[in-house]
Amino acid sequence: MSSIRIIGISLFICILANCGRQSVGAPPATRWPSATVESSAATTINTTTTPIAGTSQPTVVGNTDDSLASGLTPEGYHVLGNMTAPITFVDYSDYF
Amino acid sequence: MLEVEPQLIDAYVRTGKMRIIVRPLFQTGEDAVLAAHASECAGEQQHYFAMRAAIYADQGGLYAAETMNAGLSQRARNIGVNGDDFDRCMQSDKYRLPLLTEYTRAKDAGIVSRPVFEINGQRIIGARQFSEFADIIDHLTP
Repeated sequence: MSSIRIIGISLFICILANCGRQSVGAPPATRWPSATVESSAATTINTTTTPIAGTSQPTVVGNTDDSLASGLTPEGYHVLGNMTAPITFVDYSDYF
Repeated sequence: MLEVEPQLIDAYVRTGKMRIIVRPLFQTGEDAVLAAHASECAGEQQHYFAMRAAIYADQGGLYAAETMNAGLSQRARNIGVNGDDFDRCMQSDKYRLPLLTEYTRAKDAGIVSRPVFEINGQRIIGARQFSEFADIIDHLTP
């Protein structure tokens, strides 16, 4: 009976150990297949995992044809304008 | 937003007071997904906002094209996007899942209708005139 208990406790500990290893080693979720990778690599400012676009620091990736800055938030959302502007306007947008 | 966005850009984005962040929704179906995908593909060549403007500016023309994909491809070329790279990107369909995931995320955040806007976190549901946005923005601007 005691050996069964020991085996059970060992299994329990083993399961716990594996769970911990998996959560530590899990890769961070990425959203976009290509553009975000560049953006994430370019910025080290954002460390949050919560996608709150209005509070995340975007990265400039270029300019529009009329010289407005454009970029990506760390979450991969497209941004137009001054990346440190005091006002953040989020447009939940649907074409058509 | 079709008429108001250029006004907001002129008044607040060009002056450095405001940035616009776009988060996609797809409540109008497959064509909206394709258009959003096309914007992402144009964005790979730094033309996201130009493509967005081109789509908004000629929605009737897109529906009149032989296919939505053909119409989007032509508009991408018109704004200077490399057509071959754009077409490959569209064929890959690589942004579809992330876009749809984002749509689900928005719905989970309570975005269940359109249009929806947030100005420094203050949520506004439904279309507004420029003057109404301006009132809010001016109040928040230092």
